[in-house]
Amino acid sequence: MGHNMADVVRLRSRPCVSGQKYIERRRQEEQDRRKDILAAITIQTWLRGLRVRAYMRYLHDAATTIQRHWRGFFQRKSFHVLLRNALHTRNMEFYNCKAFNIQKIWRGYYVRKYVHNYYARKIYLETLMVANQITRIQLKEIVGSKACEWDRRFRESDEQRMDRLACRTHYLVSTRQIPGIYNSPFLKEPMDMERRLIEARPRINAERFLISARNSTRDWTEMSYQKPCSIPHIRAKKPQGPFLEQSQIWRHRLKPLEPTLRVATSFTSAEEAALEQKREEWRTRVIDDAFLPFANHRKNKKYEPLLQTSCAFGSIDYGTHHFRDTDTTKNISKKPFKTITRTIPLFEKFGKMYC
Amino acid sequence: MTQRQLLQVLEEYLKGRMHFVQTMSELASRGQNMKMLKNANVMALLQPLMLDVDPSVQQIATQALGRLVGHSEEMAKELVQGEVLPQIVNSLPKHNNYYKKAATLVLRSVAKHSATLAKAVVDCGTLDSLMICLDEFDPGVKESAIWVLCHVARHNEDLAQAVVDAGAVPFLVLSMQEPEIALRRVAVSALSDISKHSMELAHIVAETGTIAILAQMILNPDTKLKRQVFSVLSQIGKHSVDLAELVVEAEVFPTVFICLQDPDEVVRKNVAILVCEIAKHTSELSQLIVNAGALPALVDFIGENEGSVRLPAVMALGYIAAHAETLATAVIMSLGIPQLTQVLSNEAEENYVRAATAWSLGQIGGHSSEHAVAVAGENVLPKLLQIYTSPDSSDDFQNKAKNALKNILQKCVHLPALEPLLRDSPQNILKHVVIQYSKFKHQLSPARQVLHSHTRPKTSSLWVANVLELSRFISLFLILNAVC
Repeated sequence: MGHNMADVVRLRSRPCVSGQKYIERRRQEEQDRRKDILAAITIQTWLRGLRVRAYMRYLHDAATTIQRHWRGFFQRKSFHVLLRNALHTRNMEFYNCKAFNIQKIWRGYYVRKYVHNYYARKIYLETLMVANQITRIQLKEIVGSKACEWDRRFRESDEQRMDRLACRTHYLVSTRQIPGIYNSPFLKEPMDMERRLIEARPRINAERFLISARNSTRDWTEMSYQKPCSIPHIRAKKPQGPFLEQSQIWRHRLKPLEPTLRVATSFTSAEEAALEQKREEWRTRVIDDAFLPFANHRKNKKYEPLLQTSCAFGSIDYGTHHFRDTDTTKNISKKPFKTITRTIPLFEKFGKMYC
Repeated sequence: MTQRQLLQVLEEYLKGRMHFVQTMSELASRGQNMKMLKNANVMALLQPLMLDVDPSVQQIATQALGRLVGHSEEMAKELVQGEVLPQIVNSLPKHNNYYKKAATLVLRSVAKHSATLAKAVVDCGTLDSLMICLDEFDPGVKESAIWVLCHVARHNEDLAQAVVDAGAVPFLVLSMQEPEIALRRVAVSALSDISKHSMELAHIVAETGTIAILAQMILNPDTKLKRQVFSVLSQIGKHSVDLAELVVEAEVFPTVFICLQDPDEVVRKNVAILVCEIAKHTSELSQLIVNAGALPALVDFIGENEGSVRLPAVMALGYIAAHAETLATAVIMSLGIPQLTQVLSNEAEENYVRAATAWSLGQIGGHSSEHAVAVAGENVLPKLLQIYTSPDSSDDFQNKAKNALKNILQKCVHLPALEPLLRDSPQNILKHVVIQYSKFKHQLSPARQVLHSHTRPKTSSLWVANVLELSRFISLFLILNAVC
């Protein structure tokens, strides 16, 4: 307020100020004071706000700058690690792709060469047929030549047997008075046996001994088997230098593939084995009915439902001729109901023409 | 009495004994007189004459006894009970060759009847004396001694082991290489009898380098020797894979097929048995044999022979085809199936040969669909079905036919071949046929016509419910779906 009595006195002492106008002016000032105070408060508030906000902004900027600088610094540090990891993963993917490729090619090669070589099998079967033909021809030749020999021996043994028989039955020879059984008067000439009977001579003991000795003939037909001696190798010039031995190198080169059990088992070996077991079981199974325990065998009888109830389509209507039979007599028109509309040609061109 | 009179009496007695013994010997060599001689109790009379003073009487008495005993088992048992054998055995080394031959004849005749008698012979310590006999130079003695060993070892494994333990095998191997044919025959047959019982015995026989010697004897012209040689080789080869490999390594194989066309039936059969035993073991061995040209030889063999001679060849084809799919294809391409079908359909055949053929066909057709088609193409399936359903085939035959059918049906996808089976097959076979048909549900027209014509008369629900369980029912249901 500040209005004290001294001011009042001073003011009253001024000549120009009238009392009424002064009071009016004072009232007006009182009324304006409130407004002025509010206005001043408003201005001050705004100003303070501005100042604070400016300060906040300044602080924010400062913090942002610090954070920015820090983040950049930190990320740049870990960027290298990140880069290395990313490179590593990219490299691994690349190598994995290449490894897949190699494995794919190897598996194809291995299966085609060692597990089931189609072309080798084809060639094998063809050569086998050719070899069979050759074998047949060779066997025929050999057997043909042997057959002559076997024939000859058979005939010889036959001859000898007949001669011995003639010796034993020499008394059947025909005489002048009595023609023998082999010399029938109805035949033009006597039989062959007659000739043998005439030529038969009595065997003396020494001959008998010789015959028995000849039966256990000494078999000189076989020469002792001698292996052909191998010709020694031609000695080539020894290679210079401390190389590995030739034999070692060749052994290493010609070493056959010895795949591990894991590689050599086929991928489907478990399924194949299961299938084979199933087949064998199926084949050798003697009893086809399942074995049900007979303790409660009355209760164990399997319930066989009706055909009509157990399938989705249910029972067929009475009067149908066969399954899925449809009765067309009740249809409106004779032609079948079309369920397919004609295509709209414009829509066919969608996506195919450049427009 | 003067000395001269005494000597005269003694001479007459000797003559009497000689005469008796010689007549007995001649009579005993013929089988018809056996009953007479037995009733006359001749054995009791001959037994003391074996210990006679005069050596020739001894020999001929022993010979007569040997021939007698050879014809009947009861006399052999009597002889063993009379405990004469130890005396014969003990006196074996001491006397001359004729006596040895006669004595070994007795031992052989006793041992050949049965295992107990052979054991009795061995228990008398025969084997040691026989080893001494084997040392002799005379081939006849050796032959008789080896023949005894043959008969002893034939019966069972223990006796064969006893023979081997006595150290007979090296002698036998040496005797095989002698020039006399009869000796060789008997030595080889003794080896065959020893090696047939077990793997160890076969190993012992094979160890001593026998197989190489036997391999050289294959092309010998003597028939009986060849029979025995092939018999030994097959007995050695049948026990294990290693032994079979040994036999094959001796390079017998292409030459053996020549003897498949030998004029003698037993030789051919033995060769076929050899091939069968070797093919049985592993697929590599079968492959080896096939590469050596077994298939044309076997197929021609089946075509040219008849009866039980064919059995080992048929089984050999079955074993070869069973091992690997490539070999089964090779069998098919060598025209094996027409021959096998001909065996199957030839009614005059023995049932076991036909059973073996059914088995072989099942093995050939069971590998893949192409094999099944090749087998089914020769009209084999209806024949197998007929065998399975006919009441007068034996159980074994029916079983084999059923297994073969199942095997082939599991892989057969050739519809015209399956068609004749739809009509008359029993339910368990029909189930398989229907399952094969269900694989063709996408191909409507051929399946539709066939099934329509065949299942129409049988579409009563009773039939359907009887034939199939629910899971199988679904496959038939799908066919009917596709068909109608």
